[in-house]
Amino acid sequence: MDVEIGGKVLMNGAEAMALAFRLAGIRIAYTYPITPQSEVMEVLASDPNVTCVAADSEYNVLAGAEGVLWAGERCAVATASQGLLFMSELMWEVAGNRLPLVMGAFSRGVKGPGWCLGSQQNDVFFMRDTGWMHFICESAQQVLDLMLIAFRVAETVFLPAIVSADGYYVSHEKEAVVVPTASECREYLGDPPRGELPQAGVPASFGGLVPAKKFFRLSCNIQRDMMAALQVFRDAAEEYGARFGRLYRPVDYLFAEDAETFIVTAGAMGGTAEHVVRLLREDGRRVGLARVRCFRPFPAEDIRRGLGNAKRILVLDRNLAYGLGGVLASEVRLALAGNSADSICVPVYGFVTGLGGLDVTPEMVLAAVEYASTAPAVSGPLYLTEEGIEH
Amino acid sequence: MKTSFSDSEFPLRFVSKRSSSTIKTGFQRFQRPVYDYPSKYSPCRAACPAAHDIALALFLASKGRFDLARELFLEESPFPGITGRVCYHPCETACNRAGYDEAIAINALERAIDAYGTEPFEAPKTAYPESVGIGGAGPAGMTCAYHLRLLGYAVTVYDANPTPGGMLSHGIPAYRLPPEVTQKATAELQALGVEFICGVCVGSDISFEELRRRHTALFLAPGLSKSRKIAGLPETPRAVSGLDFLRAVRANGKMPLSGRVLVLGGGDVAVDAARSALRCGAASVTICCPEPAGEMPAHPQEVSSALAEGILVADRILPEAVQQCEDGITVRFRKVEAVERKGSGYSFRTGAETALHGPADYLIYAIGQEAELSFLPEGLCENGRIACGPFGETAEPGVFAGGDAVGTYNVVNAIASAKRAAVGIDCYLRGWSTDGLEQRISVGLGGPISMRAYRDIRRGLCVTPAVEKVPLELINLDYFPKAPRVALPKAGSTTDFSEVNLTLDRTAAEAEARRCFNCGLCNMCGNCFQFCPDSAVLRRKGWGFEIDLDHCKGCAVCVEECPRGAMSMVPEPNTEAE
Repeated sequence: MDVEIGGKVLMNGAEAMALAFRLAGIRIAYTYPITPQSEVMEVLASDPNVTCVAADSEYNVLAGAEGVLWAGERCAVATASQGLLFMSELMWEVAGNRLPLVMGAFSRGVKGPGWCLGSQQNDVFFMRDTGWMHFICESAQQVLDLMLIAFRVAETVFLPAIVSADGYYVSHEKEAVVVPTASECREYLGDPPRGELPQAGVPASFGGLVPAKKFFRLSCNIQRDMMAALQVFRDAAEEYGARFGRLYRPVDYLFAEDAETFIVTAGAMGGTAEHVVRLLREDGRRVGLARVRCFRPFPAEDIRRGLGNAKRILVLDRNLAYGLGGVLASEVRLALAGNSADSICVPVYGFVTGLGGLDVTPEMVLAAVEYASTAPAVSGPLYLTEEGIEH
Repeated sequence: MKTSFSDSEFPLRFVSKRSSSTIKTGFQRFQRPVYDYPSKYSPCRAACPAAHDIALALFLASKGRFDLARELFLEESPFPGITGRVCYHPCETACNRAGYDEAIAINALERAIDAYGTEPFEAPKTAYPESVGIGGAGPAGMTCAYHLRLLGYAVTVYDANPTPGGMLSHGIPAYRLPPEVTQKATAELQALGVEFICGVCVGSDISFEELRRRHTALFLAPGLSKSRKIAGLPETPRAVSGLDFLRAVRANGKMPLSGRVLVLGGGDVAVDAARSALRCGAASVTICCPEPAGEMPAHPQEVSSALAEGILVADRILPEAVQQCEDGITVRFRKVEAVERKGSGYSFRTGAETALHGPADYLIYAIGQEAELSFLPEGLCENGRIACGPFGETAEPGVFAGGDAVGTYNVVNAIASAKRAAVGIDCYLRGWSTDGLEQRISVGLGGPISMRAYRDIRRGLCVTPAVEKVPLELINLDYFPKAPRVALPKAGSTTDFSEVNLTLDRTAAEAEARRCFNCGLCNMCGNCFQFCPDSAVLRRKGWGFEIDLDHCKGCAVCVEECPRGAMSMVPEPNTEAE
């Protein structure tokens, strides 16, 4: 499409992701196909303004993209599932080298008990320690918006970012998306920062063998800047909201002011949960919703402020960290625990649902709410399926 | 905003401006790469009696530098235009590419390089008072004259024929080697300062002793000028020897023939005579040979060309009696039951069964040639050949020999023997010993000798002996997509003596040369430099690379990625001891 025009356009999440890259002015894409991301690559490949380099693996997609960033350009990269895992070794290096790469990911189950094509968030959550920021979308519109915000944040804090959305639910479903014009986006993003990139004629080695003390210090700096990125995200999202009319926060709350029961989730299930919350509100039930947009850095303070007065918290996780339970539930529990002196004691119900791409229906969410209002919380995962709840 | 993220006190990234070369990683090595391509040689070169540096010549040709490629051929022998036509190219049999798709058309490329190359070297100054006399202006005599002339000697070549060339001018038919090619080669030798005295027969016109008086050293290459006769041959002009027939054809352009021709013998002379007879007007030509048709001593390519031209072969028969009757000449043969190799020749066991061929209008016999050596003093000959050592030295000091008269059997072997004699004569005249010389200048142990190496040693240069043949396993075939061998251009007819094979055009020659693996040759492709993960392959100023052993970890990627096996890995000396 003509990126200079903008307007309201029917598109799916994959098209929105490709479009966001174009609006960010990328000219080079490193690509390797994987379902459900492949359409991003297809859209970019059909664009005469983009040079698509077909790499021989996701590993080299990231290695190639790193080169593009070292040269001071933005680069389009998108993947999913196994492909993302294949990249994981290099992801540490990209973050360690402080390269502001923005990667799109449509989450999909990882081959465990067998191949899995369905939507599941284990792939993206597995990257939580790599030094990449991680923003989660629940619609094609959010993909477009959070991609652009991610560029702004990444290029401010010099850390890479994953923008993820649920495979199929978001990647493959069309919706009306409001598209800003390329010039508006240029104005919002500016030029990519050059920083101290390698210069021709000035011999230097980047990321070589680092003395341990420096390694320690550089690692601390990544943590420091990652935490500071939360405020950068707030500011960048606020400016985006002022310019384009859609406001995002690290955690978006609904009916937070008087809710006793909170549903916390991330990704496409947020839409289902909102539907259920609104139904329950019609019945006068004091139910609220928290959607986590910013998973890394984790907005612990936002969680504590928003959920501090709840009587019970339900976390819906479309993932399962073996030996722990739902990833989001564990993060929420950690945030509430704080530094133990100020810990917030609220029962947290960690529901694990929709694994392998199973649908999560409003009835199931409703069943979870009913369960939490009668049964006691347990520390392990509660498996939520159409058949019921077990632990 | 950005200020909080670009900490001036501590940088964002770990950047080192210090050279990483201070970290010497070489100690990790337990094997090391060696940039030793000068000690390597291609199988084609070792198989070439003239020791032509084919890998390098073809690399130059592939870049369109036919001039340099020809210069390289001229380092080893004086007439690539001739061997490019008549050589039986053992190089192609040895070619590594034959084990992959098809051998390189080296012979045709040698010819193309001669055609598109430039003029020969400038005439050298005569550097020494000694002069060398050469008896016989065939391929051996001319080659020896050429190399001695380049070394700075005055050289005079004597020949009984009216023009130089020996078999090149008076034997090999024009459809294989047009006269102008030999004339051009002769003219080039004359331009270098080689003196030819033709029409003088050593022995009858000028005595051996007189030659000894005139020259400090002699090189004898009289060739095999006598045809072996068949007992009981009738005295008729219609029964001629192959050599006489070929000589007459070359002298007159043609010999009027008609009817049916029988050719006795299975060697090159027999096949040349048969194909010439066809061109002279024979209605049918039959080669009668004692060997099975597929094992004739003549070159298989010549045999198949003859068959393609309609020449018949009657094999496994040995002539027993020749009779002349009214209708022509009839030959009675005895069937051969077994062929056995006996030394350099064959012996045939015959049975009781006989066969009759004829009557024929003409009989050409080519059952072997002999040397005319009666002019030589006693003690120089053995079994009808001149006996000589590795550098052509005979029993008499200062007298050297080569060519067919010492037992070679084709042009390129004659060239090889003449090169050895040229080295022998030079060492003799300069008073140098040839002890240990051969392994310094030969291509592989016992291989052909390189005149370039000899001249370099003579100039005092350090010469790396070529000791390691590069087999196909060392070629990285990933770099060489399969490609068919060039189709060789052909022409000519069986009614005249126009040339049968043509020269490749320039583009086709370059393309064929590009197929060459250039086995064992560093052509500065730079793969080793490019792929070394430790930047431990350094470019030399000018040509070549250097291994930086301070940093080389011995991973062998350079050797693996060398497309043409020009480098080696060797164990690290001190680890081997452990």
